[in-house]
Amino acid sequence: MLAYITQRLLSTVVVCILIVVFLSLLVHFVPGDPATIILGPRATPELIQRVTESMDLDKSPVMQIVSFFGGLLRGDLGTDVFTNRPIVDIVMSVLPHTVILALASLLLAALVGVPLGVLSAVRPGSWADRILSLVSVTFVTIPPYLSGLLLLMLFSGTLRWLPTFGAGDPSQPLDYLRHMILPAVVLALTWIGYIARLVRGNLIEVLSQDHIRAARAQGLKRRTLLYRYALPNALAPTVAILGVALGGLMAGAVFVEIIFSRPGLGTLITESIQTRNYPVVRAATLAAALLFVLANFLADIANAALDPRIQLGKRAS
Amino acid sequence: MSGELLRVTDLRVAYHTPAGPFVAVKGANFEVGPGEIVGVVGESGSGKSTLASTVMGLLGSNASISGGTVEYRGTDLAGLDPEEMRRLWGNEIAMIFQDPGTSLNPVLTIGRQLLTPLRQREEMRGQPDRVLRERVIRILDRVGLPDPERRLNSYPHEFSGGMRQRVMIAMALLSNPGLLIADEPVSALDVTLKKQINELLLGLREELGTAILYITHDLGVVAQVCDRVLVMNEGEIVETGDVVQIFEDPQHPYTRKLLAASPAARPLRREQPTTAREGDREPIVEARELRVYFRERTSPIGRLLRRQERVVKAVDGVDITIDEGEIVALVGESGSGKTTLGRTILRLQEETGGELRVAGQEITELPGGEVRKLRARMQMIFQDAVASLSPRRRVRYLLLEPFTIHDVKVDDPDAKVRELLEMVDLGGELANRYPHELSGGQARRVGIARALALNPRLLVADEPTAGLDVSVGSGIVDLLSSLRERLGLTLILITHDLNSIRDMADRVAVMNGGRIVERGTTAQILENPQHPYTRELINAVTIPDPRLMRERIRAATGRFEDNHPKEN
Repeated sequence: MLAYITQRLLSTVVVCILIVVFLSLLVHFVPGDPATIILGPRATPELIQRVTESMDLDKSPVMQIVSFFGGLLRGDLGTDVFTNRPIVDIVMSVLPHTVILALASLLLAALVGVPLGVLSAVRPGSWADRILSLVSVTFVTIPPYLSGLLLLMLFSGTLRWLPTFGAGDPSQPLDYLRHMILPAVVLALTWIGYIARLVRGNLIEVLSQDHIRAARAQGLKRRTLLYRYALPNALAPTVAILGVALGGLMAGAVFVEIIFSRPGLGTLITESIQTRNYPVVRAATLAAALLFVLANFLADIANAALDPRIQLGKRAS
Repeated sequence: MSGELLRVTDLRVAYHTPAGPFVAVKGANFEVGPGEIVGVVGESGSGKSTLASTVMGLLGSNASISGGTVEYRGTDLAGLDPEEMRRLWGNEIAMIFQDPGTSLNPVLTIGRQLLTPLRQREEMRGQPDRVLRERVIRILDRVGLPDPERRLNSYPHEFSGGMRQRVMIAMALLSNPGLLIADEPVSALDVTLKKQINELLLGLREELGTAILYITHDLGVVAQVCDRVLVMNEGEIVETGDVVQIFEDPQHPYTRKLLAASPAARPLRREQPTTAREGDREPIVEARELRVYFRERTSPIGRLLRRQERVVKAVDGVDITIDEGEIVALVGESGSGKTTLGRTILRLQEETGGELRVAGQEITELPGGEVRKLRARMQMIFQDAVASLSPRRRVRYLLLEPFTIHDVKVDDPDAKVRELLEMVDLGGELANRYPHELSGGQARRVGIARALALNPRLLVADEPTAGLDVSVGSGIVDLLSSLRERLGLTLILITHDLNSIRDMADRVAVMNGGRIVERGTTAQILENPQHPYTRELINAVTIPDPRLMRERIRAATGRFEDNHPKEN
């Protein structure tokens, strides 16, 4: 297991390095001179000069990569030209909101999606299965900005049960939680549907396998058979998907954060794109990308813990 | 024996298919007494597995009992509710399955898979874990799993096939059931493992008094373990009786046919190859000091941690000469290197060292293009016939594919397909079928026809009869023999079963641990084996001769004798 973790860790580090290299050169993929775009057509040459230097645009691409890397390791990604605040601080101040939101919706998605999938798989083709299938497919296909607006209108508008915008006060857990309910539900809906479909499919297949028949022949209780013998087999592939799901959650978070006016990576990236604030876009994107890579790494480890054959790699038959 | 354990009366089982009910078991009547081993023998489709599932109460939802009763200790199983049935499973009736590879849960340790059912037993309620563990360890030890205490934390994939089957047996015997249903328990195993598992089952019967309903297609296995036999054909029990009586004096024509088809009933091949005489024969394969090593892949991390690189010497210095027109058998257990040797001769596997001349050319240094040309003249018949045919292509396409691959123009494709199918005794109507629509024997014949398409000089056949019913297998043997006569083919047969090649092979090379330990004519090897390993292999072969089989078991373990003291 240790060797497997080290191996996954190494490849994760390689992916991170590639991301950093790509992001440090990102600014060149946009046409025009970045400093001019940030500052607008009426900027003074001195100001343009200062921004160009602060973004390392006067250096060679290789030096840009090296300097971005160095800054990253020191925890210094420069100062925002608009607010004069360190960029790292700006990103770190909103990052927890997004991470908590993503984790909450992932948890919600798993807590609701897995049981729904199990319920469907126990009696495939039954009424319960058909209704659940319809619900899951609906959840998968409704985009978050639509479900977000609808739920917002119903629960915050008409019923006035839940707050409309903002993230609430982090120092007051209950208030913070109340603010998070709607965004988390909206973000989770798609994944509830997706996980339910996945678990259903995997579990139906596992239940038809020889070893379940053999376990049945040992006189095991139905519940034991389902939850202890079949479900772990069906969850391993689902967990692998969840790592990727976090990427989808990030994309969804952009919409949700805007709809609910929550501070977060999504809001930050959108605002920074609107103001052409490349250094901040870059830093925020880097944070999102690293989160995604980390999630996949954790999913790989969890997957290996669930299915001992995975550590053998593809060689196992 | 007082009273029977299992009584099956007029049992009829039907599968519900879109085309209407299909009756798989047509009125079965039999009993199993306590401690008795009753064999159910028949070919695929005979209904023997359906019978086993029915007795176990594990029929799928697409099948049901349409008549008759199954009584266990006087209780009609049809009258039990699911909860009562569940309590019977494992406690009273247990089952072991054909494929130990897929019948164990891949993500749970075997310790957990043994402890969980035990913990749910009524009589085990309240027992501390230590007691349960001790019991599990004792059973694993009894079924011959080395170092059971440590192996409790191992997962199924960490065991070999034979060990997995031992674990399965341990699971079935956890609570000392009265009846064990064994559905082809040794069919997926090598000859020597087959013998060991059967000896184990016999020993457990002696010790625990477990009755066994033993389902198999292998008459040799029946002769080895069973007291009584039911012969099934197309859903009916055509003959039943004492095992010695059935084998020595079969009454029903089907039983006679089955016995006659058994490879052991075939005459030993004694004549020399007819295609050429000594001296003027041309060797088609010449290997000198041939070595094929596999390096176990170590990851960069592993190398960093200085993990020892493991080298598996699959073929370790083999000298062999095969003459044109000969049939040579490579015999050995799995892991002996026989398949690797076959694949290396065909250049499907790179050699590590040594010389290899095929058709007069040193092929180890041949450029890729030349190997391709040569490959048209050497073909392989794969063991898993269905899996080696593309599932999305019809037979016609599969048979013409070799011509496309080697850029050979075929003037009349339809005639060619017919000709190839005819060569392997198949009708032209099969040309439009997909591989999954073929029977096991048909698929194997299509595989042979495909190998024959480009008029090869050399064929390598990997376990050509493994997994086939006896009559189908003997048909394949006849076909290969006649192809040799008709086309002057050179054949290399790879098998673990010495008996299956007794009337086909001219010479035999026995392989063990990557080396050839003994070689000779088939008659020499089978009648007068010199090497201890060869003797062991021959001894392990199951032959449909109950007296001989029992004598062997008795010699090995001291069973089948009245009042014989049990082994420790």
